Amino acid sequence: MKTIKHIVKDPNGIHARPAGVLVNTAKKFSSDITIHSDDKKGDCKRIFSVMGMSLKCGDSFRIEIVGDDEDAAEYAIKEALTSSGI
Amino acid sequence: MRIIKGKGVVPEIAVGRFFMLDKKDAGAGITPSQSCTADISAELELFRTAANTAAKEFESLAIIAKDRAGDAEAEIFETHRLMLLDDDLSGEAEVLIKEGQSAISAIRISGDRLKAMLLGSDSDYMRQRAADVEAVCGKLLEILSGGTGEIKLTVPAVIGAFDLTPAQTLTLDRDMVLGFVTGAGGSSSHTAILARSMNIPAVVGAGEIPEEADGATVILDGCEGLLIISPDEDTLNIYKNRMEEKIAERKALEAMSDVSVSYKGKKIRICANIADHAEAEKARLSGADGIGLFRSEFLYMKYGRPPTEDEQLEAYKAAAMGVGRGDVIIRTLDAGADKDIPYLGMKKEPNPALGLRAIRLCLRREELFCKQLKALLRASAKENISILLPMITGAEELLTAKKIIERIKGELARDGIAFDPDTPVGVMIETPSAAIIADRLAENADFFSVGTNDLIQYTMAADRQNSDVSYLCDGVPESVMRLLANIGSCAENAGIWAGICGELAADTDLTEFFLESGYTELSVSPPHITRIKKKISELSGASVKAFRHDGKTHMT
Repeated sequence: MKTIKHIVKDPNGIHARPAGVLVNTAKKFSSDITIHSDDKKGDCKRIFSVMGMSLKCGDSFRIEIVGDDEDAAEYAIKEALTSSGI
Repeated sequence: MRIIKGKGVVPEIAVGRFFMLDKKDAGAGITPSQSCTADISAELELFRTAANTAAKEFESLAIIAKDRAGDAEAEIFETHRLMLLDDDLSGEAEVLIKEGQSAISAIRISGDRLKAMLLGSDSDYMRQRAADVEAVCGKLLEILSGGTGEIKLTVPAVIGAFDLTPAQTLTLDRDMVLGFVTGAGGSSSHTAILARSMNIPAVVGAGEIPEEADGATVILDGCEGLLIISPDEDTLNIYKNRMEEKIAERKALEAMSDVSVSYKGKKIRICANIADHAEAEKARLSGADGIGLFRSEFLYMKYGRPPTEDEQLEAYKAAAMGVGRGDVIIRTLDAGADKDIPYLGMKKEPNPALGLRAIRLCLRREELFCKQLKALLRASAKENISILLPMITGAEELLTAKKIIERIKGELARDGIAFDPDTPVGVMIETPSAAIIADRLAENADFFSVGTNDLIQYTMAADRQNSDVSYLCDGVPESVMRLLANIGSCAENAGIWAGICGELAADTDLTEFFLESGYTELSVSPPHITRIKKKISELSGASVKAFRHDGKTHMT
């Protein structure tokens, strides 16, 4: 399993657009990819699930990746988080 | 005269005839008897075809949005596509159809469930996303009922509607639509965001729009958020004057994008930072005097393997052709620290910001470095390429890198491959060490480019991404100001030019400080270019000499 820890930097939080970026990236991989914050859990391949986490600027979260392509997924998601300023 | 108050989202004014659109509510006329179906596989097929068409439509809307509005706006439609294909929407709808619902009622039920979930959120932003679900479902229903949501006008008008979907907003005919007002919506709705980037005068959240407005002359004041129905002559004149002032102001700003600016007799170049050669075109349209920083990392990431020499050569040439003028400064691979490139198989380091990264990595993996240098030098044969070395800390490092460059030149010459032997080699100043010994580095560099983000972080020994200590990096600490001043004067003394390519370059409160310190180039992301040119021409006052682009290379 790979884990990515991140703090939301987008002043608007993880709203529709960043959630879309995250989902689009996650969907490219077969691994199970979930997002966790406090006791909330979401499916990174489902946009409503990610948006429903209501993550705001400054909130910390972690993404857990389990599967055959977890290395590539970890890299791609990290890249998406930084390049989209999430 | 009657005044309706809403929220102005685009500070522009429009005056014209008002045209009220009927809110189209596709699928609203479905009676309960139609909502159940016997032919499940036919309904499923109907739904899947509609979803497919809608997904394709969102895809093409994203492409149009990229062109008319911008990348962020294009993502709105990408989001709509994802919402459409999400298990919570399409998946749910399919389940409902399998349970015997018709395609149309399945869409409405699953859409309503999602909207209810969003409307129940404690975040205002999430509540506004219900409108996106509405837009996605509306598109599906529209396709199923055979209509098109596009708005067609025959005369220019200010249009009003209960709400516009982002797709309708995007496809508004700018020659016909003077502006729009919607009864619903907030300033962070996607419709408002699109209006902003398309610069259409707009007022949202105006509540009920009276019927008397239809066909009347109106003023749409996007600054104050007003719709003035049948204005009296005095009001009309006031607004007409304000419109003329605004047009003059805009022309002045547009003119800025195509001129060069100077300060105290020295030409100042305002260049663009890009990460991909595809962005060079945007840089040119924004009035960039060249590419001040081409981050080559993306090139190393996008193939999932090292780019070949030819792939690099094409990218560098494409960047130069895209921007079409001035120099293209390409930073050699800056991998390591937060920029991990998996296939390089770099070791996990306890402190990657202080580890094997950028030039250190390139000197360690010489074959990687040489391939890039070869591509850069080959590109220099026909284009104005400059090489920028990242993370230099001392004179030795610079000399080692320059020796390798000379060796590659020798190889190219031996093989009869064209290159420019005078390709400038510059140092990226981003460590306090380099900033302090800038005078020594200047002896062997053709130019300096200051990466302010890392320079601040290393000077303050504080990680900007760590919210507990990032306050130390806020503003510009005095220590950093002194380093910046030192770099500028060392460059001036040595007769080389210095520029700023970090985030600080876009801060117009610092522009005067940079120019006074001897910097003659500022490189920023394309949207900031005209703003900085305007600032510099203000600083230079009436004596500003604005010359057209002449395609020549930079000043000395």
